[in-house]
Amino acid sequence: MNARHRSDLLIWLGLLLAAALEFGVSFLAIPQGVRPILILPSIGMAVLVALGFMRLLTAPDIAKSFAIGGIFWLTVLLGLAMTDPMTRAVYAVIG
Amino acid sequence: MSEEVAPHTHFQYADARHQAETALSGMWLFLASEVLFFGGLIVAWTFCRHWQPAGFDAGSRETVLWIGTVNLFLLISSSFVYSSGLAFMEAGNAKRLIQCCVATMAIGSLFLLLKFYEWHIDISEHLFPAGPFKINGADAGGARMFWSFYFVATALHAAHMIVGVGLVGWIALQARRGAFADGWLTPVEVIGLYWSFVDIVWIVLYPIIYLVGRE
Amino acid sequence: MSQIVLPQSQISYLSDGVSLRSWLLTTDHKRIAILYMISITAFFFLGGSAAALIRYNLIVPEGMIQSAETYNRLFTMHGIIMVWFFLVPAVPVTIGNFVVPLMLGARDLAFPRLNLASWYLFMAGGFCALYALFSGGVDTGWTFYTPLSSNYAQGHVVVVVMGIFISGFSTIATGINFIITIHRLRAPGLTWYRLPVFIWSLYSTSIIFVLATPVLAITLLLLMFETLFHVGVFDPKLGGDPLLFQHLFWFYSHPAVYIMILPGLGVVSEIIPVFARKELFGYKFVVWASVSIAIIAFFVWGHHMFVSGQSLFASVLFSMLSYFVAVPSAIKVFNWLGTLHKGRIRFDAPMIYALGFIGLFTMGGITGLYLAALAADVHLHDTYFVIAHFHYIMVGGMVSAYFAALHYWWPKITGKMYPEMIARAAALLMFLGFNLTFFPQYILGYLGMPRRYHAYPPEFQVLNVLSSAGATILAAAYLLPLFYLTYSIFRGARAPANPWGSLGLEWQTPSPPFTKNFVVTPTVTEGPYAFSKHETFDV
Repeated sequence: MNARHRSDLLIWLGLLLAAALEFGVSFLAIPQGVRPILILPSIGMAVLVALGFMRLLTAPDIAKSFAIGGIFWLTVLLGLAMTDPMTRAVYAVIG
Repeated sequence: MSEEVAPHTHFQYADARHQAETALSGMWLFLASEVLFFGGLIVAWTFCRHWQPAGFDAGSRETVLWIGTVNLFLLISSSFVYSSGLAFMEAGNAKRLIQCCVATMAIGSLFLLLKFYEWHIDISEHLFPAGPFKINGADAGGARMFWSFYFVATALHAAHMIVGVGLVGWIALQARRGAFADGWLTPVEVIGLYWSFVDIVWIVLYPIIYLVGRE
Repeated sequence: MSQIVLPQSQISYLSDGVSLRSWLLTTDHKRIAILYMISITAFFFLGGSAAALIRYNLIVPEGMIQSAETYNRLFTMHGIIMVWFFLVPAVPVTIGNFVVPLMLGARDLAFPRLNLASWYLFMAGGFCALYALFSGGVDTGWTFYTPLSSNYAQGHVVVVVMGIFISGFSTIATGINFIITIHRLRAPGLTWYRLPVFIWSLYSTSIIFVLATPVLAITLLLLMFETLFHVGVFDPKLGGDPLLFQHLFWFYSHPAVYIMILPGLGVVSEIIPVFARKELFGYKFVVWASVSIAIIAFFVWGHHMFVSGQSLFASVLFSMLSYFVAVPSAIKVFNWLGTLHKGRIRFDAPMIYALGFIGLFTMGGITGLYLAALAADVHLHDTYFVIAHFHYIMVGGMVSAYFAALHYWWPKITGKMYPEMIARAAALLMFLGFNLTFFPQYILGYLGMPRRYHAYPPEFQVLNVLSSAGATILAAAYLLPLFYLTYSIFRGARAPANPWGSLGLEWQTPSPPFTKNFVVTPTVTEGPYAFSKHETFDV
């Protein structure tokens, strides 16, 4: 049981906890509009997996920049694509 | 080209470390590409839910929550098991690596079996978006959209899982042949990155499929 | 990185095995480049034939081809083949594949087997598309707009989409290979600012390959799902949003437009300093312009959708962001002019193509600004003005650059010199034919002739006939190199290692190069265009 195993075990316990939390919280009466916040624990879990099991912190520098790049471009895609439906004027169809 | 500078090092690299870091970086870049691949699906999800929130959520409520949740815990654990295998191998214990690989494959296969069972339930309840559909009335359109998203997303994830199970099996075979005995672990690490990424995809899909739409 | 000398056979890559198997199973980046070159040449002439038929049809107002259906299938075939099976791969997978490791002083790309796999994926995708196009065709246009493509189109939409989906993975593989190679396999002393501009532009292109192509892949999958099962993801009648398709599609396809021009910008930046015998003006500006074009590319896709019904706010935002692209593009043009200024210019064939490129690219770029302007686009949208605009960039720009690169590196690739005078004639003919074909289309578009119609009002006939006449000249100019380049392989004079007096690493190894590229990994001590220090190189 070396340091690697210990940290893996901690990450795993952390993930189980976060998953249980996410599952539990989803039973609370949250208004429909804000229910997407249930994704937040998942984002935390994704970060945990990336830093823990995928060892992002000790990865080569360019690997880190690729990871950040992927997330950045995902934000661009989601952000700019959603400007349209968020601000679109929908006209009723007549006839 | 099989010409090698040193064992496992191909001719275009200076040394083994150079090649190992290159392979890891290559996998990370591929995963960045995969992020955008699944990113397109997430855009589809936000778009569709934005236009028809009620119907979309009504569709979501028909999902089999327990299977999705069990699968979430299974995949988290599989990543842990595989990562432990890598740690064992770093300490030189190939036997433990093989055991961990087999366990990872078993968990992965269990995930897939549950997934197939879930699809079976979904389809027998007329939740496939084409043809006769379980939900009628005002919510039907949105619910069908949800189920289109559901089937495309879960099928893609399952395809990634099947590839992953195969790759982990390949690692187990390599380990049995003693390929990693001299401390060259690059394939184990690279496949681990892929497996954990597929895990992350499920972690993100889980709330948007099973949780957000419930009340 | 330490310097290593390998025991290696010093035979040229062309004579290292002659069997078919030694070609089809090769992992040598140079041989894979040749495989790609043969395939995309076939696709180019196939797509070109469709274009020829389009121009043939438009000679008379009622259309020479009687059926509008056939016409629809022709322009769709032209678009699909030219975009995905020629322009997107053209320079990166042929010239790029060949010279990237050479320019870096590397022995191969980082992942040679992945490189070969990418060619097989490309061919598999290509055959899918060809099967669909020849067994009846597709009538949706290359953009596959829904719900036309999913629920109304006749023809093999799913097969063709499958082909594009598969070939997409081939470009992702190439992109990953290039980015990793450029990061990891540079020769000792080859710092980022000593890299040739061509490498920087391929790096930028690869960013788009890797980050935009997957979005196209998922879009096409959703499209196939909708088509096969008739469910609504994009079809408004079934509850979907057709603009979702357009957003996802253009998130890929606008950056893809820059895939189709960035390598060309790199080629021209390589050629101009060599033939003006001067250091590239403002090197850092040129390379960062490439990178910023690649990044801004992802912020502007909505300008394809100004009249689609997307929100006005989004339109204004995208229009504003689109103007930003003009800045790095203009930086490049002015820096080329700065390089030419007071240079000792030689008008060899690659240079003539490159000079033609500057003019045509500028023309296409400036008209792009008209289209980025929200109000002007309402008038110009979906007219021949748009056709002329993007053909100036893609054909006038990228195809010229491809031919420039082909001539410039031809001695390195084949070890033979091409016949210079006829090549210069072909370059000039191409410039002439191109302008005659596409300039009238600007006017046609401004006057209001819409694209994708197989008939038109009689008052547009003069300009259309001019355009079709230009197309025949252009076709001749494209066929010429096919003949004289092929001829030179067999009968051309032997090429020296460095016929142009260039300073790049790829010219420091014999023509054609060894299988392992270099006998000793070179050490780099200066930038790629330091011509002032090397007056003796003058030829």
